[in-house]
Amino acid sequence: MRVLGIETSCDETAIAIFDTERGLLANQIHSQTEVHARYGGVVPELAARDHVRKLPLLLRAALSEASMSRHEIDAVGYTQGPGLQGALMTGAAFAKGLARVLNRPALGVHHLEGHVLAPLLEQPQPDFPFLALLVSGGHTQLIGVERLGGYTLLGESIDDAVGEAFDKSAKLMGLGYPGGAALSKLAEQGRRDALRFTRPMVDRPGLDLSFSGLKTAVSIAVASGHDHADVAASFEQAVIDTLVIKIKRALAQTGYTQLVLAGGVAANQPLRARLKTLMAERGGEVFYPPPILCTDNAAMIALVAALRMSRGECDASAGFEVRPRWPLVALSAQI
Amino acid sequence: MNILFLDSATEACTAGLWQNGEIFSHFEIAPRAHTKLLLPMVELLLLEAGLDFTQLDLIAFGRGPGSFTGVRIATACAQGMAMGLDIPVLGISSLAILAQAQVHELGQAALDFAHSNSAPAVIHAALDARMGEVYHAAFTVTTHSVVTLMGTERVVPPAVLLAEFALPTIHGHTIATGTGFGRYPELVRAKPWRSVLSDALPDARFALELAAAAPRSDWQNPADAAPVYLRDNVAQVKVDRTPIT
Repeated sequence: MRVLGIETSCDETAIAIFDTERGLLANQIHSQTEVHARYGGVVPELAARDHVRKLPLLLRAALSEASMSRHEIDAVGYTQGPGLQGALMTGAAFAKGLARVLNRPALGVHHLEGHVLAPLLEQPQPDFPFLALLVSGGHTQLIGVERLGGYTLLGESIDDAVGEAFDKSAKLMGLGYPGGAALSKLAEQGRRDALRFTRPMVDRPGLDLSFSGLKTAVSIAVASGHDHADVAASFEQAVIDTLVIKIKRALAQTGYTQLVLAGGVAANQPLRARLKTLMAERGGEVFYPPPILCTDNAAMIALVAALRMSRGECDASAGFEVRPRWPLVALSAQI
Repeated sequence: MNILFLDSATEACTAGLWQNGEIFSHFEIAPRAHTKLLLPMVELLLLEAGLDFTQLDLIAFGRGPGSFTGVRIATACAQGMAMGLDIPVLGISSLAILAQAQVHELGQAALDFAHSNSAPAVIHAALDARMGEVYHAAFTVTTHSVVTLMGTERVVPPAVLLAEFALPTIHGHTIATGTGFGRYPELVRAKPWRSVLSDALPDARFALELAAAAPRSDWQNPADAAPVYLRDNVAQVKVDRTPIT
């Protein structure tokens, strides 16, 4: 089965084609970073406007990359939520219009389920159950993944997402927006123990996280004239240490031995390296997709659609209603 | 020729089918329910006409101006369908649709004006654009009973239109249509209109007349299908307040 995936939940327009036999055949992504950079954040209206401009071009490019005709598409999956409402609607309307005229089934997919299951696009694959750390600009969650569609939210950030903390701290250092990746780059030149930032909420029981205080600490350090590279390195270390402490607790609590790292921040190399060491020490395994499949993409959407459709699921309605606020755990309740 | 039209630019959700001159259409006032209604409405039309999607020659869509989200829903859905069928698209102005409806309201009298040597009738279409503005355009009627745009479509405060309406014109009958006139009654009082329809919203029936009359050179590749928002200052550049250290 060849599934076309469409992703428009935020500021990436993406179309991919996943073949259940041959794997990923096309993975087209258009990043709108430049559109939003001058505004210091994603402008929902501009994001939606750009999606409409790019969707037909990306569809053409994806079919061309896969050397396929549109008639060879067997099903269409699209991101139904969570995300920006106007942005989600463009992809949903495009997907449902396309699927209908091709007389193919369509399925609305949960964006975060896509992230959590993205490692299944590559080899080696994790086996269920596993622990997933979802870290992006919008989410920081520890999720117990029991099976396809079986998710338990173990803990999450009570304020800023990790990616958000990276971007905001980068902005404080004058690294522009979004500057999370630039901050990591700068951190390579700094001393990770130069400043002793608090590891937030580690002395409290439970698996919730908090990163807004860390951002404030960065602001104070920058204002008091510390070397930016040192601040960046110390900040990054504090984030990684905090995540590691919570991951250890989550592994102990669930008894799981496999860890999946997902979301845009999963592209962070020091975090990957640290978690690799951690899991090796524990005799477990860590899985993370290549960076291109960590950030928002349609391959993960096509994958989830393929997995769910192969067990008979598809949209009940012909409409294209979206779900801007849609907790991942709501999927567990459906089964 | 078979043309499908869909529009969700306003509170109205409307879709229609032109089958070699015969028109099938649906119209429903359904704020915030377009995503649910639009495609089922299209399905129903094809059933009524006994047509298959593959028999369509053109997908026409309400390209705005109107609700940004609504305009995008129709555009993206039209793009998806047209790409799946490998046929062209055609964007139809929501203001032109309103004006086209008035050609029927007026009947032969307006056409006589269009044909005669006297001053032509002018139809002013206005939709509420929120934020103290209206989308506005003026149209006249061609000999083929199809409206044609005079000047440009724009988004303006009602005061601008009030000032323009106060100027003497050489035009014949003037007609007002659209919710812009309902939202700002002073616009209705500003001129001795021959007729006013202040609650009019775009209806697929009239859009299809425009789509069918459009020359093939107006048909577009789905990748070139673009909404017309008119209002483009939708984001403000934030002044960076990062303390300089």
